[in-house]
Amino acid sequence: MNTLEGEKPGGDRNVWRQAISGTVLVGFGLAILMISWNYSAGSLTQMGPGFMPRVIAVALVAMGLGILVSDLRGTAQSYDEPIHWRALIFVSAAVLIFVTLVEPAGLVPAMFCAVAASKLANSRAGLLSIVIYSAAVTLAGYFLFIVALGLPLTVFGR
Amino acid sequence: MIDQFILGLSVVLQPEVLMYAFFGVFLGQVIGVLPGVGAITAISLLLPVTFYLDPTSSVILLAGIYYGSQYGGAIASILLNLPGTPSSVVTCLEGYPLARDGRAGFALLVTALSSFVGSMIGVAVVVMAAIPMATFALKFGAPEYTMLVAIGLVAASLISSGSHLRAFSMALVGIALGMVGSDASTGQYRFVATDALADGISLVSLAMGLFGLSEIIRNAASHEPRKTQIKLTLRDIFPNRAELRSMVKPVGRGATIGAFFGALPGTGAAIASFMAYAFERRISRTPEKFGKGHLPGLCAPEASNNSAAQTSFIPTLTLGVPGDAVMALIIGALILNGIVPGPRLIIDEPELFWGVIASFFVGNIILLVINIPLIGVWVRLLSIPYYRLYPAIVLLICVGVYSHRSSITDVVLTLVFGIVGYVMRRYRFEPAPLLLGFVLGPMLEENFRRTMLLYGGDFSVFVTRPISATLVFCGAALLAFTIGSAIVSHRKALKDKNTQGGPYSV
Repeated sequence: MNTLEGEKPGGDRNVWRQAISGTVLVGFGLAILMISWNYSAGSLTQMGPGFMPRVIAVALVAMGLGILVSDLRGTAQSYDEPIHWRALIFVSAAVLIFVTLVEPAGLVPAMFCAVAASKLANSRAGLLSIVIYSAAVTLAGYFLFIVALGLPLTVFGR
Repeated sequence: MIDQFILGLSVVLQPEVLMYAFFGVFLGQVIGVLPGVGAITAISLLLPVTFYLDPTSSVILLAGIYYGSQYGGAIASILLNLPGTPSSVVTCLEGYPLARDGRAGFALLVTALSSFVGSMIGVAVVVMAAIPMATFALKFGAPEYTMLVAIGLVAASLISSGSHLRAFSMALVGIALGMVGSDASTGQYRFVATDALADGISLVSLAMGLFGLSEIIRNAASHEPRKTQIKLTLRDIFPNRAELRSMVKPVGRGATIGAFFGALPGTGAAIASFMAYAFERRISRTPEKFGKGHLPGLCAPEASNNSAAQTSFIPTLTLGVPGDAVMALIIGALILNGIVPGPRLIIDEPELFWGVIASFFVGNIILLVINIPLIGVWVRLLSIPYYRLYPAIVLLICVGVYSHRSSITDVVLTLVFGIVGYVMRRYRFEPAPLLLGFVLGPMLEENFRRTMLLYGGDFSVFVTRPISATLVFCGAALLAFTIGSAIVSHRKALKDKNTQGGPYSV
C-alpha cells in the first residue's frame, strides 16, 4: 500500500529537486512578509496586526535558508516514488464536482457524482460497477447524514 | 469527597439518567468515528433537545457526547489514517502503521484500554482536585500562557521523526495559516483573499486535507487487496504481559499531562495529546521506533486526550470559563436551563455537579464495555480492499467538512491541503507539526501581545513570575537537549553516510 519502501538513496542527480523545499519555504515567507507589510506593525507594547506575521515570516525565511543549505550539502535523500497523477486528478475532480453540485443540485446528486468520479482514480473500475457502487454509497450516505444524523443539508436542489 | 461522589453516583444510577449517559457516550463514539462531523456538530444539534430535560441529564448527555467522541476519534485514525477529531491526529502516527501490519485489533484494544485508564485518572483528578486546580489555573496569566505555547512549539519539532529544522518550519507555516482571518485584538482582516476566508481557515479542512485526502491520493491507484490477515482471537488482540508493562508508565505520564492541560482554560484535548506524544518521544530511549507503531507513542496521547477531556470540565464547571467551543456549548446548555456555572455551582447545585462527575465514571465504563465487542466490526472494515473503500472516504470527507460550516470554500481548501500534504510528504515535511502550529499560533500571538501590553514591552516578566520562570526553565532545557541530541545524531548520520545510504528516514 504505502510505497515509501521504494525510496532510493542519492537525490544528488538533480540540484533543483534538492533546492526546491528550501526555496518554496523562503518564497512562502517572503510572500507573507510582503502581504503583512500592508498591516501596521505598531510597537512592541502596542503590537498592530502586522507585527507577528512579520516575525513569523522572517523566521520562516531563515528556516527555509537553513533547509536549503542542508539539502544542498546533500545529507538528505529524496524518494523517487512516481506521482500518482491519475489518483491526483480524479480525487481532485471528485471534490470539485461535489463542491459545484452540492448547493445548486443538492446532496444526493453531489454524492453520486463525486463517488463516481473518485472511483475513476483506480483503473480497475468498469462502468457498470461504478454506477452500482456509487448508487450504493449514495444511499448509505443519505441514510447516515440525513436520516440518522439529521444534518441540515438540502437533499435535492430546486 | 467520597460522600459527595456517592451522592453523584446515586444521581447517575437512576435508570433515566443512566439512559441519557449511555445515549450520550454511544452517540459521541459514533460521531467521533466520522471524520469532520465532530462533537460540536452533535452537541449543537442536540442542544434544543435539552430544553425538555432537567439540567443534570442534559449536561450528562452533552458531556457524554464529548468524551465519547474522544474514544471514537481514535478508531478512524487507526484504521484509515483519518483523524476523526483533532485530538486524535497523533494517534494516526502510531496507530495507522500498526493497522498496516495487520495489528489493527490490537491497536484498537490498546487505545480503548489507554483511553479508559486515562479517563479514570482524569476523573480522579476532577474528584480530588477540582477546587484547588481551578484556583491554580486562575494564576495563569498572559506570560504563563505565552511560555506554555512556546514550549508547545518547541515540542512540535520533537513530534517529527525526520529533521527538526523541517518540523519547526512546518510549525511556522501552521502559525502563518492560523493568522488568516480577523486579527483578535484589532479586528483587522489579515490574509483574507476572499470573503469566505474572513472566519479563518477551518481546523477541520486542514486536518482532513493533510491527513485524509493526501493519504487517499497516495493509495487510490493501488490494486492489491489489503494484505491484512484478520487476527481476532483474544490472544492476538490482547497485549501480552511485556506489552502491558511497557504501557503502564506512558499511560500514567500521558494522563498526568492531559489532566494538567485539560484543567487550563483555553488548552484542550488536542494540545494535551500532542504534548504527551512529544514528551514520550523525548524521554524514550528508542526514539527511532516512533512513527512505526511504537506502543508508548500510541497509548500516551490516547490516555492524555481522554484525561484532558475529563479535566476540561474543571474550568468549565468551577469557574464558568469554557476551555473550547464544546465547553462553551455545555455552559450554554446550563444557562438555558437557568443555571449559571461558576464558583458557587458546587455549593448551590451539589447534585448536578457531582452527578455530572459521577457520570464520567459510569460513562467511561460503558464506553469500555461497548468498545471491546465493536473491535471485531471495525477491523472487518479493513478487509475491504482499499480501491473499494476510498471513494466512500472521499465522500465522508466532503460531506463532513461541508456540513461543519456549510462552506464551499472549506471543501475546496480541504482539497488544496490534500494536494499540499501529498507533495509535502514527498519532500519529507510532516503534517503533524503544521497542525500543532495552527492550533497554538493564535494563542501565542494573543498572549504575547497581551503580555507586552500589560508589562510595557518588558521581557523580564517571563522570568520574574514564578510559574512563568519554571516554564522558561523547562523550555530552555528542552531546547538545549534537542539541539544537543540533534548534533549527536547529525554526527552519527555523517558517519553512517560514509558506510551506507543516508541518515534520514522519510
